[in-house]
Amino acid sequence: MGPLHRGDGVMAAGHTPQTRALAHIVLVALCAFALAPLYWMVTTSLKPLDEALLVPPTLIPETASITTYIDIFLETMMARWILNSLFVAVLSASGNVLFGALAGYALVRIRFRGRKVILMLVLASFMIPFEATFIANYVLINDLGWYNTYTALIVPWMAGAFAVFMFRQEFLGISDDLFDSAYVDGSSEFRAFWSIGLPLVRAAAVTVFLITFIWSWNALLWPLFVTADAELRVVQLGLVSFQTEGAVFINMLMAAAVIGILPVGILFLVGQRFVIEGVTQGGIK
Amino acid sequence: MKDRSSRPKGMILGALLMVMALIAAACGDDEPATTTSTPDVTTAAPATTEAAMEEPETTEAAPATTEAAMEEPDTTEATSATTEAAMEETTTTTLAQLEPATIQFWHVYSGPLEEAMNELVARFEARYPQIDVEAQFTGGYYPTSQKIAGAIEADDLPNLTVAFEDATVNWGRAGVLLDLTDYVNDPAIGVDVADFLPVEIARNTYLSEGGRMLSFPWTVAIAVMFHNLDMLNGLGFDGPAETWDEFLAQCEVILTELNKSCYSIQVDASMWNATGFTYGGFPTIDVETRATRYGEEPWTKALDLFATLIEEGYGFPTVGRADEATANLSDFASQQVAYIMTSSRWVPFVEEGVAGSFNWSVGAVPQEFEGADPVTVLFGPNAIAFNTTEAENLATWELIKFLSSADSQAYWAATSGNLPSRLSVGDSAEYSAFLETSPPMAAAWEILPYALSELPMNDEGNLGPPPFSFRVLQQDVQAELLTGNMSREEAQRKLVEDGATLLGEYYANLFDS
Amino acid sequence: MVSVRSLRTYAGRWRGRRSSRTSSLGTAILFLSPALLVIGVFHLYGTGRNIYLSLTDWTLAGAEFVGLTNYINLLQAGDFWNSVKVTFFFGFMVPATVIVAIPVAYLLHYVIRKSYLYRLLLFVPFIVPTVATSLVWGLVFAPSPTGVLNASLQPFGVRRQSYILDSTGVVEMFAGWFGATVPGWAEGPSIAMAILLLVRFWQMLGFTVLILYAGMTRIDPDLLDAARVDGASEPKILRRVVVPVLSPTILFVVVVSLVFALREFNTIFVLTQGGPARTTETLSMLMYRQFWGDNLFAVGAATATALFAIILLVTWLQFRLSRRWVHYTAGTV
Repeated sequence: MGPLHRGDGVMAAGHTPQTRALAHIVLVALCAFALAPLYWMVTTSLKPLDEALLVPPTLIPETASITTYIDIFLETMMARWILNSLFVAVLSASGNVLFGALAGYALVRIRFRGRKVILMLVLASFMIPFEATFIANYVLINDLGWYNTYTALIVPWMAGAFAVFMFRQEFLGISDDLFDSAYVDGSSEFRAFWSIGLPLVRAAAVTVFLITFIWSWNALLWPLFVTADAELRVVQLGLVSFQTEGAVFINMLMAAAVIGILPVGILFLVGQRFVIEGVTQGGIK
Repeated sequence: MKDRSSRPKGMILGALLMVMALIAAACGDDEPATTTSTPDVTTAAPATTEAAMEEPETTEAAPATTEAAMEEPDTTEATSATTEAAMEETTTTTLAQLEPATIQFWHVYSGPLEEAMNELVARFEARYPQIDVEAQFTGGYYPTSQKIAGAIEADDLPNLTVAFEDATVNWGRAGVLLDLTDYVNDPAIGVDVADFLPVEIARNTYLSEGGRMLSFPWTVAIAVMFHNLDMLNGLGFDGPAETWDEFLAQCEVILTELNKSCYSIQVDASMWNATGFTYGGFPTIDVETRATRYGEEPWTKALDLFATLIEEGYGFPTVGRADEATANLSDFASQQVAYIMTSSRWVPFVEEGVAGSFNWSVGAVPQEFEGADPVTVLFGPNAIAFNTTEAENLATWELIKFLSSADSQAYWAATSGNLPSRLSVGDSAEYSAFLETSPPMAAAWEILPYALSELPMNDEGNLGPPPFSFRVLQQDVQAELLTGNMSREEAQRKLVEDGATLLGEYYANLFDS
Repeated sequence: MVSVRSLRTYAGRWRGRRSSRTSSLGTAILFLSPALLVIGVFHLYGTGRNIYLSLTDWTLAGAEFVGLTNYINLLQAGDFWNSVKVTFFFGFMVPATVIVAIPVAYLLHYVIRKSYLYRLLLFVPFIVPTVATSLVWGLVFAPSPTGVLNASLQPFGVRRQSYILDSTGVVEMFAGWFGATVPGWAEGPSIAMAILLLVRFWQMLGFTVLILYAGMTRIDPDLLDAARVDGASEPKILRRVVVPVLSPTILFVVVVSLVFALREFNTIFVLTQGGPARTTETLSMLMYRQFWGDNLFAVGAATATALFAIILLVTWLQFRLSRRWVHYTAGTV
């Protein structure tokens, strides 16, 4: 924290240059910590295999080229897998936002018996490691006839405790009077949700979308379990193909990882830049 | 709830007889057996294993195709019978009668290995057009075995997979495996097991399961010593050390001359076993008493060796994981060490990663005495078939036979860097040509006949793999020893005591139930 | 000077209002059913089935009810209690991360004008696939002389350290520097565990900041302005205005992060696999070893259920304790 301004009623954005400079220093340091491994990933992806294997690693690649990236698209079905992942992740993230917001809204704004029980059940649903429940889920998918379909990749992850709980907490942080106008003209509950509730938690919605998108995007085991065809594979399986028995093509692996991170990074920027900044600037009164 | 264990014995026997009749019908009749009486998957499954184990007389009926098998139920006898038979011709005629079937093959090979596997599958399908093989990458060994557990619970099994012995025993106990014993020994459709490494046959024969072959050899890898020839020659050594004494002497020179540790030691149970085996530590578990031999002299020597390597600064530990073992490979490729011990499977990768920047090769693990056999460990997954319908079972067996044939093994070994499990592959032109392009792989091939399995075993078969936790114990103790957090005495005591607790309970359950 | 009492009223001024909330059960069912259907079928069912199977002798051959046998065996095993301890060590990372993340989110939201780039960069570790995470951190903390840390510290005369393979307790290590020894129970988490905590902090900081930042966007700027007019200092505004209003979000992030930390599997699996000397074997790692290593399905199910019970208890406790510090502007719940 910077030297702090006392007593003269600064506005939120009105900090002194010194304060802001200090904030920048702190943040740059933290980002460097966060990014150092990413730097290694990117430089490794540009190296030929023999240089990529060197320890201690060369800080600046001696021979840098983007052949790894080209090879990935030429030698694997990466483009197809990226599209698959996009399709699956967008649908499951959208489901989490919509269903999570509806449920979170209901848990706060509608009075009914058993709200606490439902909340506890929802929370209980993500307290056990995936490794313990997957057999039951595999059997379920098989019985439903969803094996080797997009449905199996999407539907089980279209709602979850994370989204429901996040929206519930956010709605709890919003004053009741903000909703009053909706009831004056006798709107339906869904209208109140849609036109007042949802816009108020826009930032949370973007956050839920991003995080559930990433979970779907980075999923590896579930797609392996419930699909069979190479056409249904997802982007993380692309990484696995460079890490086989008896070979870890670390440069290709890192290139594939960088390819996998890029779309998420872009999505993050769009979400944060245009949606959340918009909320902040417009304020929510 | 599924409950396979409490089915009445009579029903099992009945089912068994039905299976046998069907097999006989399929093999012997011109008219393909009717598919309407396809036996229930789950019922048939335990029948083959359990009944075959408990009721010796049913074994006679098992292959039911020839007189020879009826007269000689004994495994070894049947083998020789098979050898004598004009196998090729018989096999072809039988195959013409194979019913159309679709085979689900779940495997662990991705990337270039997946392409090589697809090529093998395509060759098989070209030979048997009525069989359709759906080969599918299902993740590494763990994800695959998890998926198979799901498939068992869902009663929707694949036909074939590749896995290690512990998974085999577990699935065998669930009664879902196809007992391959009678297929292997059948004079008409069997194989010549004499061509395989004896250790491979024993590794796939399970004493705890009545000496049955619940899996079949595929390809293998062995632990070898990668060495940097340029570094050794530069210091005046002709080549890699043949004994541990020589090894320590080289290490001393490397440390004083180059200020480097000579050996990057992978914390890994297989490499640990390889080291112990050079002192006569095989098997780690006594087959008769089922107790660990870690208290014995060979292991004292092996533990002392590790302690010395660390104390003198000749070696350091690296984290080892089968699928991510880049740490010591990086040390080797960067010429930071003269030696690493790891799987021969990594040879093609090191060839690519070192890219000619220095001269290196692989050799045997140093031994205790000069002139001793180049003992090491052998490991690798086996082919495992699940019992489904009789038509699929037969087709699956043909696929297993095809994959383990000398031709297929030659192709697979040359593309994947694995070693063949049958010695006749050495005669194949394809494999000989490959070995000429890769002197390190040729060196590994020379060592292969001396390799021992990590499983406790005798000539009859293996005792059953020790539990995974035993492997964890080995690796934990190795890490503690190599980081200096445990003395040799403490390490040995922990191995013996914890080992006894783990193994006593485990083998008692395995053999008494 | 501004009194604490007067600042509290900024946060609390909405409390106790009349509620405009409706009470239609039909609407509630309509709103809840899509989420509950998915959660119930694909998440709760598996949990329930696991609990049931933990009471049987489950193997792939079938399952018969055996009561509490698995639990009795589990509680008698040293492995289990070791894992309980290790699991809680791993949970320590949550308060550490949240305490750092709150001021960082404050800086990003209130001090820096356009902070989305910072947020992205901080968030990147959360996106990186675990296989890349393990390779890069494995390289940094490699026990070999060429490990990034060993190689960097070597010029300063630091001996080669075993880092990720070192089971020495952190407290034990500090004591060792002063030539002291500590009893076994006081040696603290191992060095390997400390490294895992660092990696986890690295992974989760951006995630925590992101959620807190999103929560901050719904805080009425007038509240802060009023506090500033009253002459409150920035740390005071953060503590007395922002934190109380943000408290539902803070509760959310603490509860969720603790659930994730206590059941975490991937990070540990790819970096240490429970070693060295089982000092990083959390309950989820132990469960994995029982399930997929030793094929002891019923015992694994019991461990998973025990972990479930621990997480449930910890979460329930947090809700109980939250009554003291969480302020819900939408009224009492």
